[in-house]
Amino acid sequence: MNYLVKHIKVAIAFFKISWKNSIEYMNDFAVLCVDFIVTIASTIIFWRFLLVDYEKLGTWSMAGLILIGIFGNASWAIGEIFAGAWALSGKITEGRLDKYMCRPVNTLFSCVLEDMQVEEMIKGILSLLILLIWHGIKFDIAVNPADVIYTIVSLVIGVIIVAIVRCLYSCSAFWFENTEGLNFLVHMEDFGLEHYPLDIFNKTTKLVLLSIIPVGFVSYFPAMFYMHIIEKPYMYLLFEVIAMIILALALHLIWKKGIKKYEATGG
Amino acid sequence: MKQRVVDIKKHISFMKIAKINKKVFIPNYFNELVVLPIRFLILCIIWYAIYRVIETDEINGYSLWGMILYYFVYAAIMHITTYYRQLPYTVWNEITRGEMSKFICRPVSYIKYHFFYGLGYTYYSMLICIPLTIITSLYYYHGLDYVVHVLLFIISVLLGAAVTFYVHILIGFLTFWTESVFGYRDFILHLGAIFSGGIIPLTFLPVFLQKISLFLPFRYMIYEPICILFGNYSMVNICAVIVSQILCIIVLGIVTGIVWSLGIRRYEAQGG
Repeated sequence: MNYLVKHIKVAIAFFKISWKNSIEYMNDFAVLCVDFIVTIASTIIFWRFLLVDYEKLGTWSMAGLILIGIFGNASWAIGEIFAGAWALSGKITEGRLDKYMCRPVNTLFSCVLEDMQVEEMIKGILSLLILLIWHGIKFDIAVNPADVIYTIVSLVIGVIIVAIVRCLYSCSAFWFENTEGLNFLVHMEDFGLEHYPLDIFNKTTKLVLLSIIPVGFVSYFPAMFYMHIIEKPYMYLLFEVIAMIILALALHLIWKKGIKKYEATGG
Repeated sequence: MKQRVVDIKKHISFMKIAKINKKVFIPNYFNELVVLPIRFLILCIIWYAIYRVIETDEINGYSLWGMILYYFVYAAIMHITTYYRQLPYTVWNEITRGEMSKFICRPVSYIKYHFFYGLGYTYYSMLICIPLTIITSLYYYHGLDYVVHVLLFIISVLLGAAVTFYVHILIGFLTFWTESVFGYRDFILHLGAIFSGGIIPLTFLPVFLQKISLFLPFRYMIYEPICILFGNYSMVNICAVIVSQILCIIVLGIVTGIVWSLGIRRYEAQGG
């Protein structure tokens, strides 16, 4: 219990540090929020003008496609709470894990949370709320509270899954000196795959988007819950939880093996 | 005359330094070799799925292959100008850390340094991207005209790179006034992506948005070179595009010079 409380306190301390850094540039933060709206506007422009002669993309109406875009973009911003997952491979190769290993806190935990970008996360949450209200009014969509809860839980799990997978790729730095080759997988948002509904792809692609590049968890699933498209949402949620646990266990094992190979040159 | 020769030698040496620096990180080069084909594969998967689901061969004049090529060439040109696209961060870093002082103390122009260093840096990227782009765009081969279009495409890409350079260094110079530049950078570039054909080819947009894009620098960075390569323009239109790009570079060059001279007065390096 003490162990857990200690880690929560550390996470809160990282949060406070990041927040203090963020409010130093308040104007920039305000512009970031406006920028988020522009990003969503780009998604709307893309689907609106691409499908000008078609009302739907498969089973997905314009409202659904825009919702996927909203969740996709918001999830990247919210996921910045685990921004350390990006920098993990650099810390391993440059021997910068020492300071974390000397502390009485889980190394991976502090390594991933130390670089959290609170302003990005707040930007994501605020903009998500505004855009969901706009979306509801624009497309006249009524959402029941249970769907909202499913959506929130699904989004949180999705963000955690993406962070775990990023950490998994970064762990390859324990065995390979240079992880440049895998960097494109760590920066999976560059592909823009989160904007598309999963069901338009074939089985292999679906599998890839739920494992190697798990963007399906951060946009498609939350949008499905929110639009109440699925009949047994708890089954999908259970699937997400199981996927998250399996990936977390895999990361735990790989990290344990990798950390034994870690050596800091110089020190 | 002698001074000019010295200047040219100096700028060539910037390019050489960049080439050597790039060569040191040779694994990055192989990374680039892997990333572009993967991006191509992903584009194929996405667009094949979209065309299949809406059961069509053509959307707004773009066939499936045409659409894939459009986004692939777009990504390849973006790849070429990676160094320039990172300039807002580089400039922000150099201003906030006081590293700009070394440029002020030396007989080196800060703007020219980054331009030529960037040219050297893009050398290896061009070795991959230009041939890849030309090979994939053989789909648009239509006799001798195609060869002319490829040559004009390369000229237009280089001019587009200069436009990209000026737009990004100008964003970086905002640091003189704002201290942090990332929100502004993302906002300007995301807005610019709409007008540069990065979201969707400009012909899909309503006419008024297309007209607005003519007065902004963004479409001259990548969209116009792609249209030249794909043979969308007649020879007269291509000349007009290239003239527009040159005009855009001149205007941006003047603006950059003014912003630099105003901004550098606000620069202060602590300690030093």
